[in-house]
Parts: sequence; C-alpha cells; structure tokens
Amino acid sequence: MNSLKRAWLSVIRKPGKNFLLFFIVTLLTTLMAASLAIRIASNNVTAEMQNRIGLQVSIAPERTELAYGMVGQHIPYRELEKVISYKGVKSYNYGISYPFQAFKAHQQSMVLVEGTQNPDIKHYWPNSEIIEGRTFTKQELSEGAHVMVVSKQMADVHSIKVGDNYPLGRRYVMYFDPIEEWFDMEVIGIVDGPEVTRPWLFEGDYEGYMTYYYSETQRDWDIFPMAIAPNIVIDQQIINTKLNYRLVGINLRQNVRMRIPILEMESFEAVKEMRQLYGKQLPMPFKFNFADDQILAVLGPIGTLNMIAEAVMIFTMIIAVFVCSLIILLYLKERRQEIGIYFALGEKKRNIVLQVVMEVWIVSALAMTLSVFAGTWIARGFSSELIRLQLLIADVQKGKVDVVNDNIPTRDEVVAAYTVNMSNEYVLLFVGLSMLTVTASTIVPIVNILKLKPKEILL
Amino acid sequence: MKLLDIKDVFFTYPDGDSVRTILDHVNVTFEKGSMYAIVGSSGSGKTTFLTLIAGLDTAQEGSITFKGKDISEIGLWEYRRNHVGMVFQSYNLIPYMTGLENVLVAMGISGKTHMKDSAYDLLDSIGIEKNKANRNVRRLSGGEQQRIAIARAMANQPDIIVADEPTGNLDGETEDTIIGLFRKLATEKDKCVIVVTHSEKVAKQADVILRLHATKGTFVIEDNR
Repeated sequence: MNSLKRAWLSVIRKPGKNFLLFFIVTLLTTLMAASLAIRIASNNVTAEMQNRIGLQVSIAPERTELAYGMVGQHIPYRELEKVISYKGVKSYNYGISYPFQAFKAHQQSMVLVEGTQNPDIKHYWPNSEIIEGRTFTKQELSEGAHVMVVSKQMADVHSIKVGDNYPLGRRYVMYFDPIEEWFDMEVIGIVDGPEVTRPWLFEGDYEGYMTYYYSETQRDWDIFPMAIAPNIVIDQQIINTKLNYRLVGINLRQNVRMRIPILEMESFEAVKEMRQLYGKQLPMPFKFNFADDQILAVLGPIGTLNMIAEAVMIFTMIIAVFVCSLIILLYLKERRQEIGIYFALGEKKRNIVLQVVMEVWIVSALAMTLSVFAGTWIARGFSSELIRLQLLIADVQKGKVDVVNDNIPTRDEVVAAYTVNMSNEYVLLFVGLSMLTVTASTIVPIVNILKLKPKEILL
Repeated sequence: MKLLDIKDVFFTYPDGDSVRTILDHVNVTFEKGSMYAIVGSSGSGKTTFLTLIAGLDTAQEGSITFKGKDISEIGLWEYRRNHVGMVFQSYNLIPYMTGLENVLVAMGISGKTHMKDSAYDLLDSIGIEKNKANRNVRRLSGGEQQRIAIARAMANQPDIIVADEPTGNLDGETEDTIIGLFRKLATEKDKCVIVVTHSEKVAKQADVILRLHATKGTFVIEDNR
C-alpha cells in the first residue's frame, strides 16, 4: 500500500475529522473564487472596451476655446511633429483631407484625398473591403509613393481601374503667386462596402452642439475621403496632407475640412507613456484626448471593483494559509502515533510528507469543486448589481471627457459585456491559486512532522 | 549464527545537571533461531537498549553490527525497513485501517506490492481469519490486535523481531498465546526474537535472558539453551 492509497483511506475513513478542514477550505476558496471571477470578468470587460475604443490619441483645442470660435484651428506642425516622432506611435493621421482637381474625369471635379501612414483601409472606410488590387506597402508609406486606393464610387465616376495612372492637381497661392501642381497617382486598389445607415455628424460641431443632424443610408465614403494616399514628398516638400496642414494656417483654410489629428498608438503602455512625456507640453489651447481617458471614465467603477476583488483575494489567501496550517497542525497532532508507526516501519520521510499533502489536496479538491460553483454564483449576483449601480455614477463622469472617437460604450453596453463565466481560464487559475494556497499551508505542519522522533512517540 | 553484535555500547541520559549512564560498554551477541528476553527493573534501560537494536536511536559509543555490517552504515531507515520488525505494548496499529491494511502498509513500505494474498496467509498463520482481517482494528480484542501487530512486524520478512512489553496489556491466557507465537517465530521461522518484559513468566520462555543491572548498566546473561 503506497502513500497515495494511505492518504485516500485516511480521508474516506475519517470524514468527521476532515470536515473542519473541508468546511474552512470551502469557505475561503469560495471567497477566492468569487474574487477571481470578478477580476477575470473585470479584466475581460476592460479589454473588450479597450479594443472597442482603440488606442487612439487625438489633439484638439480645449472645449472652452472652441466655444469662443476656435473651430478650424490646428496645432502648429512643428509641435505635432514632436508628438508623432514618439516611438510608441504606430501610425498617425493628420486628420485633414484635401480636395484635389481631377482632370481625367468626365467633367472636372474635386476628389477628396486623405493622407495616411496607416495601411489599414478600415481606418478610413470602417465597413469596407478591397475588391480589387491591394493596400499600401510599408515601403510606399515610408517613401510617400505616388499611389492611391480609391472608393468604388470614385472609380465608377472617373472610370478608373487598378493600375491606372491618374493625375491629381492642386492650385494655391503662395506669397501672392498662384501655384499649380499635378501628380500622377497610380491606382493600386479599389474599395467597396455595404450601404449602412448611420447618423450624419455635422462637421465642426462640438460639445453641446454635438447633435446628430439626420440619419440616412449611405456608404462610408459619403462621409470619409474618396481616396487615400501616402503622404507625398516632392522636391523635399511633403505635400498632400502634410503640406496641406501647413497651408491651413496660411490661406487655404476655406478648402480644408477641419479635422482633429489622430495618433494610433502601439499599446496602452505607449498611451500612458505619451501622457507622461507630452501630456503638458502642448501649446495652449491644444490638449491631448487620450483613449484611456474614455476607458477610465467608463470603466472606473469596474477598476475599483477589480482592486477590491484583488485585495479580497490576496487577504483570503493569506488567511487561508494561516488557518489551514493551524487545522492541519491540530490534525497531525492527533496522528503523531500513526506517523511514528510509519517512521518505525522505515517509511521514507518524503512519502510521509506526500501522504499528508495528498490528504490535504483530496479534501481541498472536494471543497474547491463546491467553491468554483459557489464563487461564480456569488460573483454573478454581487458584482452585476454593484457594477450597474456604480456605472450610473460613471455616466456623469463620462460626459466630462473629450471625444476621441464615437465608440464610447454606454452603461448598458458595459453591463452587458460584464459577464461572470466559468471559463477555462477562470477554473484553471482558481485551481492553481487554491492548490498553491493549501500546499503553502502544509509547509509548517510538514516541518513539524519532520522534527518528530519515533522513539519518543512510540515507546 | 551470529546475527547482531553489540560491542562496547555506551549510552547516557542527561539527568538534571548530571548525566545518568544507562548502558555502560555493553557487549551482547544475538543469533538467529533464538528468543531473547531482556528483563530489569523500571528505568533500568531495557527499552533504551531495544531502541538501539531496533535502529530507532543511536548509541553514543560502541557499535551495533548486523550480519557484520554496522547498522549506521546500512542506514537506520533502511535497516528498520528491511531487517527489523517491531511489536509494541500498545499495539500501535493504524486505527482507521483493517488488520489486513495494517499489514499491507508495512509490506508496501518495504517495497512489496500486490501482496494481498500473502498478507492473508501471514495473518492466518498467526490465527487471524479472513473475516477478522477485514475488520477495523478497533473492533478487535487486545490479543487479536497484538497478533496483527506481530503479523505486521513479520510483513517485511525481517531477521530480527523486537517486542517491547508485548503482553503488558493482555490477560494471562492471551499472554501465553502471544509468547507461544514468538517462540514459534524463533524456532520454526528461524527469527531472532528479542522481547523486553517485566514478566518472569515470559522471560522463562526465552532461550537467553539478559538481566539489565539498573545501576551498573551492564547485562547478566542467563543462557538456557
């Protein structure tokens, strides 16, 4: 009969004596399970909301300044350049589209082209797919290649095919001299997408004026640019959006739709770092609007709940180690004679230790099976109500944060996303942490066993 | 045949500020096929001597050799596991197990597995039938418990069986049966049986009586063979 069989017999033949340990482990691991379930649900909802809001940072004037007619103002380019050169910036969009002249059209018309550093076309046309050709390569983006991806609407109207060279022109006045430039742009992709019904946001509206004008069925390029192209460099001048950006401040404001520069960050750590590095360096009246401001506003109560759950879990683990150690010590004190017999029979110490640990594990496993269900049930009932209550308060806070994008979740959406599930991650983590705790609680009793002398026990 | 050789064993206990000598350079030899009785007054050091022979403790001086090899070289745990069987006055059975399981525990510890049939045979050979072997040990009489303790001591097929007051808790009739069993182990199974006892009746059953002198810490040996 090996030590595992002995452990099993010890547990099943002495149910009464093991009950105290079972009861305490059930109680404490239920608390741990509930805390863990809340933590995992909080982390999941936070991750989901972070993904939804994205890793964006926008730069815009303070809303109070906007109220005094600063709509259309842009941050000076040299200031923006400092920010976009930060290594944590994955891509950026100056937020400006420029109307180019198109002469190959049936009739002369304007084509709205947006400069980009981002090859993801969904960044510009959220619901669309490339139906022909491809998107930009990294090299094209970094070199400012004369290539563009156009909407199907533009392709149809202008009879454009993938591979065509399509000239775009622009006219502007620089120091009283009229300037006209034409660029041969190679069409590398055509994009199409489903018709969607979306509220039309009136350009330039902010804060109290941010009301949806009307809803209509439309395609993405009805409100987004008709074409996108990498920022173009000619004669050491960056044209397209970057030059446009400079021109905005001079005399072309009337041709440029006001947008807010948006940076796509590498990670939330990068967002945090940017907040620390540049947070207070922007010139007045401009300021950053960080995506995680929105998250904090929306998920603040969940973060608090998460912290409480973590504290409860750590506290419970410490208490569990202490209390279980005492119970096992008392339990082993009653079994000194049995341990002395094993010593006298020449049993290896490691097998005696294994037997004790196995006994604790068997009792704990039974307790944990109960706890994993009880903990989930408690976490569901307790935290859902708390979240609902806390988010009512958060709704008020959310209104104080400037908009980076319009994906801010509502309270009901957060509540819906907050689900306590018995996921594999939860069960595995719970089992791991509980086993670690109960195993840690056997250390002191085991040290105590190893000090026993069979002669003193048996004779 | 010389099995266990005790040479110049010296053992003391701290006794307040002084030191009390229990065994003063003791020399004894134990052989297979014989039963030995160690007698002496209370506190004379009989049990201490037994713990040294059983490998539960070590002497401060001298050597104990088993088949010519010092037991400390064999390793006390290894020695207890494979070469010695122990029987105690209070039986010291594992209380939540059956008689059979108590025997199987000892077999398992000495590395013998799947020995259920052998365990039943062993128990049967000392008068414990199958139905009693499957009963929880707390539901057995003192004599039956001691038989199971003897079976357990035999489980690892040791050369030496040591017993500390094995009949101390038993009535006269059962005492005779148990001592009879020990004698059989010595004579029929060729074991070296060493029994510590207060009882002159038990001692007289032994082949050799070792009388421990309480103050001198030495043995007077009566060989009845």
